[in-house]
Amino acid sequence: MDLSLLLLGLTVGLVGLVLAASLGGEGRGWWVAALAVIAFATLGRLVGHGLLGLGLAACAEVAALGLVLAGRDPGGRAAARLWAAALVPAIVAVGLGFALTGLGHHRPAAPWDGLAVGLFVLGFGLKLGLVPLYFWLPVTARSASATSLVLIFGIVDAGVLADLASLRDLAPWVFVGHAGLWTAVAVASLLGGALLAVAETDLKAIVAFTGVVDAGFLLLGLIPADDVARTGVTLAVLGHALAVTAVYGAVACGEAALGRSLTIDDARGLAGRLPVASGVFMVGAAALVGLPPSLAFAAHWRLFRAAADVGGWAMTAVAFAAASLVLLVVVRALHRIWLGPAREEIAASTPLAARGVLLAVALAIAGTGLVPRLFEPASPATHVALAPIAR
Amino acid sequence: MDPVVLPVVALLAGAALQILIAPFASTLWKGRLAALATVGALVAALAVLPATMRGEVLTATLTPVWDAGAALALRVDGLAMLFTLMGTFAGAAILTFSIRYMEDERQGGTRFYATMLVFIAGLLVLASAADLLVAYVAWEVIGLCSYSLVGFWYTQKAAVDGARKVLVITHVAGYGFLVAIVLLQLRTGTLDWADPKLAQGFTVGVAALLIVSAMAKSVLFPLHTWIPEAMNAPTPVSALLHSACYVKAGVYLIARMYSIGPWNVDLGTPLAAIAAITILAGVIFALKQTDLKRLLAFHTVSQLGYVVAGLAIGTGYGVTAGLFYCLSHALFKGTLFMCAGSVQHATGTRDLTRLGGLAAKMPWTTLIWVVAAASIAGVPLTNGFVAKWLIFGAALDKGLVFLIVAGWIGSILTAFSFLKASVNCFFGQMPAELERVHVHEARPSMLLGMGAMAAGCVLFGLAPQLLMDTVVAPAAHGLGFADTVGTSWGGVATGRGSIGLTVGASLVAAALAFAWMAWHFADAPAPRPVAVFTGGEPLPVGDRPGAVDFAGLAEAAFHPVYAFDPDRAWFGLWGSTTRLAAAGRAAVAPLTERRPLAVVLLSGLAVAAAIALG
Repeated sequence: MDLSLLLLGLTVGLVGLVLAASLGGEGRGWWVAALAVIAFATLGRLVGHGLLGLGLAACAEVAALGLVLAGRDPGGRAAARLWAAALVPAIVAVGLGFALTGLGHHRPAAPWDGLAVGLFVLGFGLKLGLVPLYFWLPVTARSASATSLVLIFGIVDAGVLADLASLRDLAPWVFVGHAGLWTAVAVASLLGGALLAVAETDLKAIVAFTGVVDAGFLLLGLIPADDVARTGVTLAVLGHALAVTAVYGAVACGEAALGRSLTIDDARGLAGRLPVASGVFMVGAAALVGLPPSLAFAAHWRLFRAAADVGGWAMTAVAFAAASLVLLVVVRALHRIWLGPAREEIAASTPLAARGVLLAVALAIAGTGLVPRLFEPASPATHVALAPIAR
Repeated sequence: MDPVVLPVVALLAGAALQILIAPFASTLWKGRLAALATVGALVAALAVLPATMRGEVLTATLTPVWDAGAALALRVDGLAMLFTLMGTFAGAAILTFSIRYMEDERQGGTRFYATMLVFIAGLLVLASAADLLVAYVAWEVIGLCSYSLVGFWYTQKAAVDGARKVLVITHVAGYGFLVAIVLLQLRTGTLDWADPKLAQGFTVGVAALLIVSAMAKSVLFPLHTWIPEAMNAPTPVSALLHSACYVKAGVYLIARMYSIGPWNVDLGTPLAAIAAITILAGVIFALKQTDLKRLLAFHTVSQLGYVVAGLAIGTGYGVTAGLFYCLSHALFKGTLFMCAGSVQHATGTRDLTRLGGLAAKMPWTTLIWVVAAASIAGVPLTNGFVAKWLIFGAALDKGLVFLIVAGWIGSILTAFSFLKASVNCFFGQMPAELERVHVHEARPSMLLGMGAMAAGCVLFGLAPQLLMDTVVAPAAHGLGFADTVGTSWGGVATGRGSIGLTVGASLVAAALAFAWMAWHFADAPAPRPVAVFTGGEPLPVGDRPGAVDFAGLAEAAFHPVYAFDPDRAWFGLWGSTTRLAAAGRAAVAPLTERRPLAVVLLSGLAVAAAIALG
């Protein structure tokens, strides 16, 4: 996955930078932070899993704070402070967890193994804003510009999810041995994230909460000991990053045109004036929901399978409920904000460069969805993975 | 290139071409090329027909590697061929109709034609998919295409509201298909439709999930409420959606379930009960409508009830009847929608209260409408009559009296509803406001599209054996059913008796032709308004029962039924969820969003407790 993630990070970074340049409005501090995020994340992927790689990833996460701090929103400082309150202990917790497990290569004796698992749960939970550790997420999503969120969720968040997937490969005991705990966190994130998205009105925060649901699905894929689930996790990381890039990119165009945040209460009918952004939002939203053709779909059916494997009918029902709620939320946002008659005149249209990169992202979503096999993790077992689960 | 993949390739190439020529070609030329692509796909499908008639199963690979180590492969058997021919024939006719219908659309021509072609290709891939995952992808692709096409005029609220409803109802129910797939895979290790191992995982729960998905796609009660809302799409979209490409996807899925293996529990009776309710609910709601397309939409609900009833009967006779009905419905419903489109194109309205007397200005459209209306009402000499005959015969054989009663009442009400629509639209005096509009006959290419499908209604009404031998019987064989409907040059024969349709109908047709000639060449009276026979008090000459009268009558007769609206349940569920979410967030926010330290500490304690307790 490292090569895919490396290329994905660079692509998302490029998209973010082109959007920022063409839509304008970001200051010098933002550009420094953005370049730092891209550079640290790229270096971290190049170095690979290890002390240095983890350190570089942490630097990218901290640099992402700068995107919120340097933004135009007056609440940015407070939001960055709150996010830092989550991020710093999260980095420490994950770091300690890796320290206790020798970077995931060995299992310490009890009770240290339990402590390591606890630190991983709390650390990754804080980083990803899993339920109930999401206190920083809505505030940050509302305060950061949509272009910043392209970088935050398309690079940093994807990196955290990839670290989680790497941990599953290195130390399966962390998940298999504590399946109940991870399942509980997954269920809380699936249902809680979906309900929080329903209750939210700000489009950026809505999308952020759908990311929590995606993380919940991904956690389910970490629990079963089979390669189908493992492949699902890999594809979910990539698919989610592409989907949020498209969605937040489109939102950035909408915000630039309206000059304010998009909420389901007041924005209407942007598609008439911004057809490309609207179409790309639609493609990204379809991928968020897990519709084919997209990598997210290739991940989705595998993670549904993992849900059925982990918890039978009950867990399948939870996955169904969460997926249905995400669909309803995304469709509501699409129809309230983008489609239908416009409520106000919009003078600006989307700049050509922004339209170009957004279309490229939409094509990438559909194109990669046609060849998911190319993105499956390299494992001899993967290609013959579709065997029944032995019980 | 393998001939099996040619129909799909022709359609996808047509779609790609639409994008390539977008900047240069007019909407008219885009329409011509799209129609050509579907005709090409139809010809390619017909080339494969002899093999499926012999019972051969043809396989081919679209892409060697796709997902999960599997190829994107097609397997064309009799059932796949039935749906392929239905999709390509209806597609060719409807896209021929679209050429002139859509030529004045200033924007979205490329989007329209490219999506229509992918839509048809989606049905073909669904029907021919060698494995369940490819089938699900095609299932969702046609869902997305329909969403895009129903919301074609995306700045109009009614259009996008309809599109939203299509997406939400069919996609949420469609998760049932996905869950069924993963459960089957988990239990049997295979995704191949034809793998005998699949039968081991085919439990009642899995079957129920597949049926629920099919119900939403095929507008079975109570998941039918999206279809009238989808009527704000361009008429060719409605025609394709209703005749071949969308509502028939669910029919395909139910039929394909027989290829997994025999239904080892009685799924048929509950499904037949749903079909019976659907037959009645659809037609009762249709009676109330004064919008021509909404009326047709509710008849789709009712007619799909007949189709699924045939499949639910579960015998070879029943499945054959259901599949014959499926094809027949494609022909007459596609025709009716195109006629409705012609009327709207010519008059600017589809409101039956504002229409009338169009036969004088649109004689060909009227003739085609009357043929299709007769067919849906089950009038002899049409394919609709044969389809109903077979369904009733199969239900009688199985002893499903409730299905016969529902079908019988449904047929009467369907005839009544189409009498209303036909009289109000085409006969009587033309309203004054229409006199001021330049009402014109449909253009030749539009007539060609709808005429071709109407011709099918008559051809397969007179000689159903043509359809039975070539398409329907091989499809039933492919699902494991032996011949139960015999055919000969004289018509079709069932265990309950034979109908020498070709002989009998030819005699009747000849008699009618002679009568018409005698009337025409004798001193035929000039057309003039006559008093309408109402069965009671005669109406004054020139007056006629209007659409509103019919709607009022239906309202008076069936008002308790109209009070039942399944949408209230869905909206109520969504409303409750949003209230629950808002209340839940308000309750937990003081802690989870404003007391970070407390949340982290409490979460830490919970995690520690969970680990300590194992």
